[in-house]
Amino acid sequence: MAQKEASKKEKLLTGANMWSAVRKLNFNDERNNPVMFLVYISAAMTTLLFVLSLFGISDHIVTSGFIITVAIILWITCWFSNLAEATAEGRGKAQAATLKASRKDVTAHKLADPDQPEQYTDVAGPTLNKGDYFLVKANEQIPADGEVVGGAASVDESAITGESAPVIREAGGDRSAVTGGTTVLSDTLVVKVTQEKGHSFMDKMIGMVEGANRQKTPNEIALEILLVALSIIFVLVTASLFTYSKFSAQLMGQHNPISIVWLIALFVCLAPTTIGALLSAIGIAGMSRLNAANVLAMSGRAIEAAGDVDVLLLDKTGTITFGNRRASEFIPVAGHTAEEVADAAQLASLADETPEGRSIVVLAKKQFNIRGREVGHHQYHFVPFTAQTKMSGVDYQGIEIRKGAAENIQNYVEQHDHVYSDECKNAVEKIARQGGTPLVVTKDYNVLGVIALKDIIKPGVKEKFADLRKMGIQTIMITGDNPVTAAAIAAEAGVDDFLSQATPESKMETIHQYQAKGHLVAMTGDGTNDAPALAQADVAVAMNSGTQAAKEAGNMVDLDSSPTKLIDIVRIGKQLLMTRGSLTTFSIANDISKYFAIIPAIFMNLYPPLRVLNIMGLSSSTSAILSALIFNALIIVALIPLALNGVKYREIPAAQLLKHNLWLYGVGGLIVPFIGIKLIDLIITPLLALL
Amino acid sequence: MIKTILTYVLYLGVPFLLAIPVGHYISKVMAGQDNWLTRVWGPVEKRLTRWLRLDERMNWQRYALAVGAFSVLSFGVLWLILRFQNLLPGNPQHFAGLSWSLAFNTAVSFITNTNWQSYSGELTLSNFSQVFGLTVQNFASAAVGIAVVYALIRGIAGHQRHDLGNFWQDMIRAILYILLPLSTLFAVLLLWCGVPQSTYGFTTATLAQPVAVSAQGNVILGATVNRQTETVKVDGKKVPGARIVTKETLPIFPQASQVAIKQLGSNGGGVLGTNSAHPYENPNALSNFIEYLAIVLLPMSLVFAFGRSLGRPKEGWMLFIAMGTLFLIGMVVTGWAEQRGVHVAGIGTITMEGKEARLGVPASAIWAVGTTATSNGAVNAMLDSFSPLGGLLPMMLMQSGEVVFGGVGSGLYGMLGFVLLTVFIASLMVGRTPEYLGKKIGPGEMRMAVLACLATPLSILVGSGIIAALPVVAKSLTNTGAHGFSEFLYAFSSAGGNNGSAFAGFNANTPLMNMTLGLIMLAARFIPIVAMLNIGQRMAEQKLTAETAGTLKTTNATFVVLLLIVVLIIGVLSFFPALSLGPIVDALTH
Repeated sequence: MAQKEASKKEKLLTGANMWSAVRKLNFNDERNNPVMFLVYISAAMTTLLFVLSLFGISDHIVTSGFIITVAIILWITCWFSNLAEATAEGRGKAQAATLKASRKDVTAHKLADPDQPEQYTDVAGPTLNKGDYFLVKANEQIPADGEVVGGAASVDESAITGESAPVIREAGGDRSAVTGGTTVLSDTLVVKVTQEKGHSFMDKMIGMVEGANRQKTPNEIALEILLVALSIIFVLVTASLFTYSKFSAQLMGQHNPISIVWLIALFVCLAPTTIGALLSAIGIAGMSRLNAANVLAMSGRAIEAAGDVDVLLLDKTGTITFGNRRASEFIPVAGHTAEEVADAAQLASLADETPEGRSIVVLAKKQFNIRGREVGHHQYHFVPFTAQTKMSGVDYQGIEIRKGAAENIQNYVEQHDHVYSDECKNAVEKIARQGGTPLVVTKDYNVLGVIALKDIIKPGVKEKFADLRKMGIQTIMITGDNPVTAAAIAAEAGVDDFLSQATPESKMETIHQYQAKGHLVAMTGDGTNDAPALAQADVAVAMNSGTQAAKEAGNMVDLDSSPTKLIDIVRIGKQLLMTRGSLTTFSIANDISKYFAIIPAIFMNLYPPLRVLNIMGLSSSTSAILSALIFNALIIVALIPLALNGVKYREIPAAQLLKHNLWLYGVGGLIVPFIGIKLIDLIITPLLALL
Repeated sequence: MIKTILTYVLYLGVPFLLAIPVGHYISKVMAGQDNWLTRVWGPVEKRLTRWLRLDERMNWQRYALAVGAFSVLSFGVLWLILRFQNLLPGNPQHFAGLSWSLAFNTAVSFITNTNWQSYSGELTLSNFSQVFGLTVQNFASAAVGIAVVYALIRGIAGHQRHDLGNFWQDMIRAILYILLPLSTLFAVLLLWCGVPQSTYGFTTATLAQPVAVSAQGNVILGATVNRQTETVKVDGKKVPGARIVTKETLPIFPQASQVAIKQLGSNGGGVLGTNSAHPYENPNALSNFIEYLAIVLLPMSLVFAFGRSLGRPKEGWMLFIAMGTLFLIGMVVTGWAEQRGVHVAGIGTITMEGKEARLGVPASAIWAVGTTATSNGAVNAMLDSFSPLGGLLPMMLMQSGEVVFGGVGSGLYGMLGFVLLTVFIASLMVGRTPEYLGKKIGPGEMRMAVLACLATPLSILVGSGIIAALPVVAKSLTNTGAHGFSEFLYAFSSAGGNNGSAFAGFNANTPLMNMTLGLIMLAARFIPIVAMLNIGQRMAEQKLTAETAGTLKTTNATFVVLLLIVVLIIGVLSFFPALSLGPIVDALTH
């Protein structure tokens, strides 16, 4: 998806965007952006001055030709700003169009009674109300968001996730939520509608992606206040300059040498137009980068909060380790051999379809060449794992084989008056200390040995966490493992802390503790029992595969349901803020060169000594003012790609980051316009001479 | 040369070394901790606390209201004293009451800690007005500054609290423990240097040698005076209309006490029109040094007190280094420019015009920077006579909003406004939503911070912009051309910076100028106060955000550099166009 995005980018500077930017040149649209609104007014004023000058009403300091040139440059400046916004919105629209295309008006099989799925009436999908029930069959599109109350089916959710592998949706548990617009591939589902018309997940998503209901975030508003304040100061600087120069000319016994058009030009150059023009584009582009990463934020605020996050609660499974533990060793006790342990373990695991169970069968085959036996044989009676016993196993030929967690096996063995030896205890502890999960194997209540299951840590994880730590972000591993196991994995993966034997309550408590110390916490969750913790976290990413409750509690939804997504979200959040800050710095730093271009230009006649301030050696007053204005307009276009793609993000401490960005955008912002204005002056001087 | 360098080292080093312990002391006092004056003032403070219910906590609105009420009352009393001083006792010279506009301007000027004077003290004000009017406000307005900055500090330091302390308690502590003892000490030191302290008024003394003056009142140089015939001859020719002066009038007032607090409280309003250039306010090199020390001591100390009171001494050092850098730049440039002098066609290079011979060039240049950087405004030389560059730097220091140490209290909270703007930009650059010392800077904080930072430029630009359009203003000037514009700009910058120093050569005692400058002083003083109290409340109510490696550090060199750039671009660069019409073009021509 990200690649698709990149290839589209070139196309986005299209006629549609350019036209859309022209249409934004109306009073109401411009008013939303105060800085550019002032430029808009300046352009209108200059145009008016031009019209007046045609009728001979003018200060006779500048020509009509000059006035109209300034007016045109100002209109183009406004248009460039709109172009940035339109381009950013264009990306979102492209994403939204894909989503909209997937949503057809479907017929819903509405049920009067969910217990009688055969008796349905066909109605139009959009007429379904919250609380209605409907039936959806194989190869039909789900008409509305809802919760499965009956049946189980595989569902293709690629319309919203882009992931083609189907997912299972079934009644009860954490996989009961279905989204309107997705397609059932097999079987049928009975679904209760959970969202009002027009408020479905898909509607929200289209809205967010389009940026239609985009609201300014607090940080954006605060920045805008700063920019508006600067603009007001510059309005006053230029307005007072008019009376100052009148006053000074009076003292020198001359006429006021300053044209209002010059002052308008000076104002536009000094006002923070660069950041003002790109501000909304930066916000929209940040959102759209997040969408491109298949994360849907419920508000722009959530993305900014992601930049501030300094504690990440990461699920061990899937983020830090590969999803499944694997059997790594059979450790015999009490004089038994490893092969005996392997044999019993394999027997006990034959019916165990979990990846752990399979890895035991595979390891036994690999180490001792013990072949799997015919499972279907009637003499085997398999005892499945239950939450109560926490054991599984097999009974055959009067023999009872069990494997399970150490504590439960100990109870089980001791209940049957057998000894749970210290040797076994030691073996269990040793495995746990190394981060493994011990499973004790018994045959007729005698402990044969222990199977070591090990978590495999994903490559590169440790380095990633080290980088995050340098940036001041702590990683906390969440796991259901016991403390000893958890500590070993935590050490190996290089996380800062861990929460073992995690329950929804303990997760919430952990979040609460970190927040009390002033940290901002991000977490990922999927189940309904994660909902309270998600609601508590500052940045809460609900997996799309999760329940409706989890999604509602979170402020972002990860369409890929990928546990590592949190790190990407933090990156995107920081990048968004950095882009804002860097362009603001650049914009303000630009002012110095503009002063040096314009002040000598407008006062050279009144006070010839001020000529020395013309350090760029610009050829004439006209050329100096036009060059500064043209630079001011062009820099907006030049920076659109940076605004859309974000400044370079690096995982280094804040102090280094500040130094780096200050050099690049501060010092760069100081020097670039000196060069740019001079170059433009060199180009336009011969053109002006022709006129 | 060595003497010059030694002068600089002394003037820079001693205040710095004293500021650290004094800052420590202030932080103790304002926290209500025991200190060496607790024995003296403890019982008094306790009793006042009980009577005035000073343990009542105030939120920002009540605090601001208290500041406002106190200031309105101060203004009213002072205005009445000045307007009707002829009806009051202690007026041996029988001065008339001030005009309503001059009384307005002067009252505003003293309650806002500006001490702009559109008049000459010795020719206008009675002893009663001086002592019970102005000196009282010299204490009060400085104490308001300390109180407000401490309300803000409590806001920054606190978390999830809903008050900023008690204004009256802060005032009483600032006066009893800080201003009174220090001003007593400095008054005694000045007395020892020979500054008079008396209610005599004018005393007449016979001149050792009579002086001849022309009909216009100008001294005739090289004249031969014949007392018998009452004739004045120059080169053997009689000068018609010339008069012989045999007596002089000495202005002897309660100078020592007034001067001590005028300097300590960054007030600057002298008893005499020529301020500390007059030998009765500043008789010798030692008194000059003592007064300079008094000028910069509290503004510098408060920066260290800030760090201590927050429990983050490094933050204080950071601010000190930032302010000190600007201070040093100002001092080096002004010193260099004054040492170099001005070249005048036909005369040659002059460096001493407008400066006192007993003080010399370095002490005058240092003082000019000190007094404008700290929002004090007392002068020991006439800035109008400084070289263009030497006049430019003091003007820039005032236009920055008086944040280079600045006024007592006001300089610190002004600088903190700039710190918030800097933190805002810098935090974004490191990918965080802005926060300062663990407190978030949202739209509300930002609105107030820009108000505080822009109050000075706004009020200067609006006020001077309007007045410049009126033809009548040209009459207030003594010079034409760029230098005339400098005189004009300086007056507005001085009011907008709540500084009060005068460039001289600009007549501000007209109803129009009195009103305009008065309004500018009010805006530049009270807008930041309200804004900073509001920020204090907002910060106090917040939870503390944890500091990590990802948090913006405000104590490293990068931040200091950025802070300086923000101060220069926002505070100073706004005046670049105006300055280029005045001192800059002046400097380029001379």
